[in-house]
Amino acid sequence: MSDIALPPKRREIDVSGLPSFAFGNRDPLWWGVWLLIAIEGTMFALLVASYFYLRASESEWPPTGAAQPPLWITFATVIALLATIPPSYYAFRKALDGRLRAVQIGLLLTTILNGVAVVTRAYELGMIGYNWNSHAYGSLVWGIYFVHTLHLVSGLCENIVITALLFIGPVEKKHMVDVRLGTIYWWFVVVSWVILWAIVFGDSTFLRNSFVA
Amino acid sequence: MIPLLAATYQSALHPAGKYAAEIKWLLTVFTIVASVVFVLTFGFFVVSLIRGRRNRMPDATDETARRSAKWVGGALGVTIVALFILLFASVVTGRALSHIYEPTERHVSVIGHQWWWEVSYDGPQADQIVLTANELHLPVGERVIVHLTSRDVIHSLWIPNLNGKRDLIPGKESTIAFQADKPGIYRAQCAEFCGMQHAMMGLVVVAEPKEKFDGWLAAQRMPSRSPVSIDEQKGQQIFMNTSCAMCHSIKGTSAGARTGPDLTHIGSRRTLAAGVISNTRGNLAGWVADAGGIKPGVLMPPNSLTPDELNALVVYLESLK
Amino acid sequence: MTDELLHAELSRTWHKPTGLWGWLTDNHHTTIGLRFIITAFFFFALGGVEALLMRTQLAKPGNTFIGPDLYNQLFTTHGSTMMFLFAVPVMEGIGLYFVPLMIGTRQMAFPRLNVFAYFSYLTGGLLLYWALFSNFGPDTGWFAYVPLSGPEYAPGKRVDVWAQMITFTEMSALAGAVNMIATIFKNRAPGMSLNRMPIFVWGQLVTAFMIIFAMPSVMVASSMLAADRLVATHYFNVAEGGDAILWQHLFWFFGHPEVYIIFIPGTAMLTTIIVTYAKRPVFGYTGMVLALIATGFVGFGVWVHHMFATGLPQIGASFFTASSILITIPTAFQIFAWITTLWHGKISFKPPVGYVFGFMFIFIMGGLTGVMLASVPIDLQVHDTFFVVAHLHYVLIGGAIFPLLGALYMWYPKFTGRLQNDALGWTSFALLFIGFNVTFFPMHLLGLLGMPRRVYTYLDTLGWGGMNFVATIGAYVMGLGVLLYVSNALLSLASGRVAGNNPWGAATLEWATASPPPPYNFLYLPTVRDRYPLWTNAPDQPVVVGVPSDKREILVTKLMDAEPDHLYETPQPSISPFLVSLGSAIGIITAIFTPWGVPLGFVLVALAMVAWFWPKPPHKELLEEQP
Ligand code: HEA
Ligand code: HEA
Ligand code: HEC
Ligand code: CUA
Ligand SMILES: [Cu+2]
Repeated sequence: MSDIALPPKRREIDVSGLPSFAFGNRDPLWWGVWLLIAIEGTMFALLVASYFYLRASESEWPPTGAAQPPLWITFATVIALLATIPPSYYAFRKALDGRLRAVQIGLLLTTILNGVAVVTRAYELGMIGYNWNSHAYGSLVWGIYFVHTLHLVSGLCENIVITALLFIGPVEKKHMVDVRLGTIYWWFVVVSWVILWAIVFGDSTFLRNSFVA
Repeated sequence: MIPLLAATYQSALHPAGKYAAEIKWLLTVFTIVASVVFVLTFGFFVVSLIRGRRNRMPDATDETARRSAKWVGGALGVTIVALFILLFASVVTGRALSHIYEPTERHVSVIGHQWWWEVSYDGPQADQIVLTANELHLPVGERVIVHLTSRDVIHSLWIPNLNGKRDLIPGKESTIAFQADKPGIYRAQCAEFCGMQHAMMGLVVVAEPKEKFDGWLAAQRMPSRSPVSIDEQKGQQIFMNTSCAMCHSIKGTSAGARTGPDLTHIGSRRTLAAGVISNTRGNLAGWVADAGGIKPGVLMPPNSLTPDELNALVVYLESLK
Repeated sequence: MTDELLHAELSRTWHKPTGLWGWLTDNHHTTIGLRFIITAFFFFALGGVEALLMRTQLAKPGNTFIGPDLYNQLFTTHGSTMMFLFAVPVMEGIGLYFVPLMIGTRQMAFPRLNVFAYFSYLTGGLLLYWALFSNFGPDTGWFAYVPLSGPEYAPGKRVDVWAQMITFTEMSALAGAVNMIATIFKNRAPGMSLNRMPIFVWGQLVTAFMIIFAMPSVMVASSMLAADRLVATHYFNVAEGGDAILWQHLFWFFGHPEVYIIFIPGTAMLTTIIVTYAKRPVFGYTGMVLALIATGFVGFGVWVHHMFATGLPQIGASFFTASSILITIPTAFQIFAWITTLWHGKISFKPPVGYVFGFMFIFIMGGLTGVMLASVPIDLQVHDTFFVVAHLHYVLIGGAIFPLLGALYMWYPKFTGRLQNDALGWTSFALLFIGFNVTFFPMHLLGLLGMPRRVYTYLDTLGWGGMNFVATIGAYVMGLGVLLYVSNALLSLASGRVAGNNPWGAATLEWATASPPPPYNFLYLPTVRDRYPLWTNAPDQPVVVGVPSDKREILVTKLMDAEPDHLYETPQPSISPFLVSLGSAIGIITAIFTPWGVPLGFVLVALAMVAWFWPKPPHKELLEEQP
């Protein structure tokens, strides 16, 4: 039986030979990841907008007595994050050709450095000289840290799981697509922090109390 | 019996001052343009239904599309022209209204509280500042700048007969100006939702000729009238010795708290409880005994005075003209 | 393979699980879509009953039927329900049901994400009503302005419930939007290039993009509010450098796009109705698409028109007046194009055409009052009065709910296989139309005559009683209309005439398959060669063969011109998305009471996610290299 009234003679397009996965924007999941990045990027942008909105009506920024964490520790996180880019890029490239060993190495390094960044982040948080409930500035900085740390930790979980999968197997061809998507997302985590860090600490280091109300 | 006609003393359609009149003019322009647009658009739509029903066949040829495109383009052109007219009228009125903030002599400040209005008039000296509540007096024909802020949540001061509204925002000061051209009593009501009794946060606006206004202001500058009769004296004592003095001020006595409305001249006010009940002895007694019975959720607690004490207290308050 | 065998195998592969387990696991887009629609109507009934209670209270001055505390909970829940639990999800549900059918595919791009979206939404709704029925429903309005909703003036858990309801529904909407965009971009039938997509699909696409960029704003705002309340941050606390107006910017940067998120699918459905019953292509397809996109863009640039009364510099305010006026141009174009389409159409007068009539009358009026509100001086008079209440119901009900009711009438045979009773259809339309105008027209006047919104009662000396009484009567008439509409749908389930595949002779692909559609949607995936396949396809229009029928495979096509690209296996029913939403629900609800809800939710979700994504046998093509 047929639910479509089919014309007696029909032409056919045979798609049975098509591949079962694809890289890049041909892949639906690629769109999923980029849209997720758009959502979270918008969220970060709005946090930053709120930061400047509140800043504009203050006469001191940061408020006196708000001791920032030492710059070196914030640098440490940024460097650990930036250091993940070469190995993850390596994995990203090699995934295209299905070179499992290379991808494993790249991701393993990425995951380790990601772990390092989580550790330095923990120190960073411990060294912030004010609390989220000290003043609105504190709330903003802690808010930014909170949201990003959430990403950092979920990035770590994701990297661990993908890496583990690649070591445990069996590894499907399609997993190479997932590796690349995971990497793209991870780069978002890295880049967003570099920007947020530059804004928060650039502001408090170079622009302290300038452009205030 | 439900009244069928709305009162005119809290209405944007019955301006009593030039700002409200300008806005009403703008509203009229918009309403006329909108009505014409509505009649035309809806008219065309109805015709399209009738024609579409009569048509034998749908007609989607390129030729029809080209002809229709001209019509649609024309209609869009008309729309854009109409919109520009409206935008222009709106901006012009807006600019005319912005002159209301030019410097002037007369300044009043209004502070929003849950759910009443604190009103104060500048005086030459600190002790000549007039502090009152829930009643705003304006001299007719004079522009008055009102400074607004709030002690708790956001409120909005709206005297529709005189001007549009302005929010009272905690931590910010904003201003609005009024000019009453017709003497009369108008009513304002808080327009921004501010909690349980937002509905019952009214304000009486009295626009009176300059002399009367000056007289009122001078009277309000005075400290409160000292109690004379025995009842009044007893009432004052009760006021000072029970909780009342913890929240209210009466100039000339030891009561100086600002949590609740100033009561120095409460006897001269037209209403109680922020424009909700008229200021009669019965209402006053009822209010003092159990304010929450009249305004559920109100921030003034009930009390347990005996009828005698209550009576004395009310007599005293009434004497504060 | 013969058609019979193919049907048998596809039915087996795409079998919809049943029972409770099936309810928790089934991920078919028609199941989820229908479930969204029904749940949304359930909440609509609740929101409507709240409206009736409010109207009863307002029927006469000084009424004591409902006290201030309950009234405030009612209008808050009514507004929040109608916006977050009804209007947005119902549009999403219709999209989930019809978009895959209209673009000729078998499934959404991420079926399990759909399941997650549904359960998130359901939890959010149940949370709100649990609170309302336990008398701690939120009571600060659907935009919950701080500081009224802050820790100091709203102690207790009412506002926290509201904030987390927002979290749930926004997660759901975001998940739905991502899914919708990926589906529309990647799953279209061969030949359906972007410029051949039905307008309805365009509407869903633009809406989804608006969701992506608008919803994060309210997520940020409600998270800040929750943090202010729970861990004493100071985002909105003036005393410590925070700012109450920040909330308003964040909220309305979402809130204004939100109303177009509701309105755009409405107009897209209206186009669908008009094309179907006027039996001709829509006039100005490209213009219609551009109008939707333009509305989507400009919609992000007008939010401040909700905040004129907070006091803004003149220039700033004029800018937002101008942008609000600008946004009428694309809408005007759409209206003119619809009129043109009808003008040259051959209209068959079915009840959906009544809803087109209702739309035109009501929405145009509501749009025009919107233009009035965009003017700063006028807005300063009528802001926060019943004039705004009138505007918002004219545009929301006229612009979105009427098209929705019309479209559901039109699609009813597709859902159920049966036709509704036209006489009942017309009667319920008439009741709704008359009831609506009787309810809301007087509110314009009430606003101008000084009646603020959100008042639980008013003094009789103000003379608003008469018009309020009339409005209340109207609301009950509307209620009757709703009841009749629902009854017609329920009665026709069993007794309606059998409809066949395409009772209206409509043009789009959802009508090319059985009513209701089989679980696999199309026996052979269709191809198209223009915008109105069922009117203009060649007699020997090719169909797609070679999509494996023993697995839930769908065809992925290219973004622009929809050429076949690869095959993509969609997941079987599974419990993991439900577990993820359960984990996040536990976390989010716990976070109402303690900040530890956040890490708790994080861990639960992470565990459930691993279960979700960890590959399960049978494994697909393996890599040559293996560990
Ligand atoms: C479906 C939802 C929807 C839609 C489509 C609209 C459409 C519009 N809205 Fe509305 N609006 C709401 C939902 C919607 N609104 C809601 C829910 C609120 C209240 C929120 C709250 O406070 O609770 C609100 C509030 C609101 C305000 C704030 C009021 C206040 O609180 O003070 C303003 C102010 O500018 C406004 C303006 C507009 C404008 C200019 C349009 C325009 O897009 C309208 C365009 C359409 C037309 C103009 C009609 C058709 C055009 C023609 C026939 C062409 C010819 C026209 C002319 C020449 C004028 N709206
Ligand atoms: C899509 C959105 C939507 C819809 C459809 C409605 C529908 C209705 N609304 Fe609502 N409304 C809002 C969105 C909406 N509203 C918003 C956003 C606000 C602002 C809230 C705020 O200020 O925070 C608001 C506020 C609002 C107010 C102002 C409250 C105030 O400021 O004090 C009023 C008052 O009259 C009102 C009335 C109504 C009425 C009578 C209906 C009617 O159309 C309802 C008709 C439906 C029914 C009557 C239900 C019928 C069902 C049954 C009888 C049960 C059937 C049972 C089964 C089928 C099982 N609404
Ligand atoms: C805890 C604080 C508090 C105490 C104690 C208190 N009041 Fe009040 N009072 C208020 C507040 C707040 C209002 C404004 C209520 C409103 O209108 O919403 C008010 C209003 C009034 C008004 C009406 C003023 C007006 O202009 O409308 C009167 C009169 C009054 N109080 C008298 C008294 C008396 C007499 C007592 C003592 C028996 C008393 N109050 C005790 C807080 C208090
Ligand atoms: Cu004060 Cu509403
Ligand atoms: Cu808006």
